[in-house]
Formats: sequence, C-alpha cells, structure tokens
Amino acid sequence: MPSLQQIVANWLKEAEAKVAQGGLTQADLQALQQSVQGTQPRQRLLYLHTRTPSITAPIVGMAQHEPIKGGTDTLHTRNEWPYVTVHDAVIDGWQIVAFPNLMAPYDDRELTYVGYEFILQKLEEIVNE
Amino acid sequence: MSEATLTRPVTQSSVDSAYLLSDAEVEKFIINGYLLVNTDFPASFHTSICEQIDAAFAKVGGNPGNDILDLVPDLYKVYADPHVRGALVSLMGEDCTMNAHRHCHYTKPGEKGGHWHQDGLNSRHHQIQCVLAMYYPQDVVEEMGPTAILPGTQYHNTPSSQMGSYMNFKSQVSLAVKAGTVAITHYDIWHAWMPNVSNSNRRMLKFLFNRASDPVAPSWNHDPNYRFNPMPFSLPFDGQSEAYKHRTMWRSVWDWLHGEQPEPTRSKW
Repeated sequence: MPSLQQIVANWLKEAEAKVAQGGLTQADLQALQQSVQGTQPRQRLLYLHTRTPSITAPIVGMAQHEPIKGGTDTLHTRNEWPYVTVHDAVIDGWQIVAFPNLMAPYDDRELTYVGYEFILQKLEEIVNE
Repeated sequence: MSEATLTRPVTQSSVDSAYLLSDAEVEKFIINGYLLVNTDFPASFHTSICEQIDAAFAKVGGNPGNDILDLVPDLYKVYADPHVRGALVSLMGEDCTMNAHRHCHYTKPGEKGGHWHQDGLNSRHHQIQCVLAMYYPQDVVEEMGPTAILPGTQYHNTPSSQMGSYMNFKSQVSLAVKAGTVAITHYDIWHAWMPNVSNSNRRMLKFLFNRASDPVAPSWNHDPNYRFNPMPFSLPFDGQSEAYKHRTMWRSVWDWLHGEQPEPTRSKW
C-alpha cells in the first residue's frame, strides 16, 4: 500500500542521486506530479482491545484494516504485536477516534465482552489503484 | 432417520478408570474451557475417514449435515475411543449422550475464514451441560485454517454479532493439531475458523454431547485430598474485579461437579 509519504521519500532519494550526477529532468518532475495527483486521503483503522479503559492498559487483541482492496485483517496467529498499549500506538501517530464505553464489564445475567475497544485512525495519502 | 437413532448414550459400558481425567485436568477445563485428546487409531484409519467424508460429500452433492454419521459410520469409533469417552464421562457424567446435531466443517484452499462466535442462543450458564467434540481426521497446520478458540470465554454471554470488531487476541489458541486429535470444548467457548491459505482441504467433525443428569459426585479420577485453589489463575484479558469473579465462578463449577448445589439465596459471587 504505497502512501504519498513513501512515494515522495523514494522520489527524493532518487533525486539526490540525480542531482549529484548532473541534475533533474523535466520528466522527473512530471513523474512526481503524476504521483501526487494520483493519491487520495484514506483512513487506516486500528482496533485495539485492552484489559482496562486506560490508554496505558495492556493490549489483549487487535485488528488492523488497510484502506485498499483485500486490506481487511484476518484471523491468524500474530507472532509480533506492534504495540503494548494504546499509548504506544498514539506515539506512533495513530489518533483515537472512539473511546471504550464504560459499561459494566461483567455480570452473570447481562452481556459480557472481552476487553475495552479503542478505535484509532491514520489518514494517509494512498496511491489510487 | 428417527430421533431415537440420533441420540444415544455415549457409553454402552463403564469406562476404564485409567482413561478418566485427573483433578488437575478437570480444573484446567473449568478455567480454560477446552482440552485436547489423542485417539489411538493408526494413520490409515484417519486417512480412510477423510476418503469416506469426501465420498459422502460427493454422494449427496454437498454437505450432508447431520447425516454425516450414517454416511461415515466409522466416526462412531472415534467417539467410542476410550480416551475420548474417558474425557466425556469425566466432564459430563456416565450417562451423557451424543446430540442429534453434528456437522462436518470442510474448509477448502482459498476460503477466508469466519468470525468469532458462540454457538446457539445467548442464554448461558455457569455449568458444564454441553461440550463440542471436534475431531480432525488429518494433520492441521496453521496455513490450513485451524479452529481458533479463546480460552476462558465459555462463561461469557456475548451476542456473536457484537464480536464483529474482534480479530486476533494474544491469548487465542489455534488448533493446529495432528490427525486423530479430538478437541473437547465447553459449548459456549468463543471460536472461529481461520483462513485456509494452503493447498489442502481441512476437515473437522463437530459433534455435541449433552449432560443427562446433574452431577452427584465427581465422575473423574478424583483424589479427595486434592485442593482446588483458583487464586493463582487469571485470564489474560481480565481486570482485577473480573479475575476475582472468575475465580469464584470456577470454584462454584468445581463444587457443582461434586454434586453440591448452590444455595438459592446466595449470591454467585
């Protein structure tokens, strides 16, 4: 899922080398312009389920959905968990868009859930498919 | 096919006590809601079961549903295996019965998997009245889309539709198991099937077993000196209060399995 940030970073890296070799061409600038025009802001979503409603509570589950076809998460054994807490994700640039509902977490007659749900997003410019 | 032929006692004779569960195994089941049993059949038996299942699907032009047992009668042998019978009797009593419903879950390469759910209705309890006995007639590796379970959720009462945003849990267990394994789980445990990204079919036979009578005494290899102390145990997703409540509940299930009935006016906590 190439983002605008990645495209520009790659372009700059190549441009540095070209400048050292004599300079950029009109074609290079046109390529960058096409890349920029072909992007669209899209919402990356991260669901984090935590042991308590605190942003410092341990994460017990997660789902990460990317804004491209086939980018929704699936059930699989995650060997690596990117964040220990919601706060770690916030430091990494995720923004919380939904905080958990502080309903009573447990009662033998009522409905029960596992953990508390935070929904986070990152808005990124993604290249159109 | 009459109902009488579908529901029958799991045991025709008493179970050799050597195959009954231990106190520690029953304790673990009360807490986690599952255990794995290995049957004694040779690999050729399980291969034959796979072939019979495939033939049954071909014969009826799809999933035969409850008829899978009549179409593949060797499945009786699996659930009569002494290791399986011993575990069922230990958890459900000598007179537990095979439920009329059963289903062969057949996952083909490329299938995307399912969502977390609890079977049946949202009317749960804190006893062991019904278990799933899931038999895998072929080796299941992670890529084949194993059954996933979330240990400890068997006492939750959660509408499956409201589990829709859950995906992967740190404490989930994928049942990547050897051919011949029977996973016995509490009926209410959260479970799902994972995507099959392999080139192999995965077959899983889900049978249900029901308790026929309330326990009056331990039906496993119980040592009267064994002390069930739930205090050291907690579930990874439980906060402080939930942990205390779960421990009290586990203890009440243990007592119930000994034939002790809760006092009507007494709080479960």
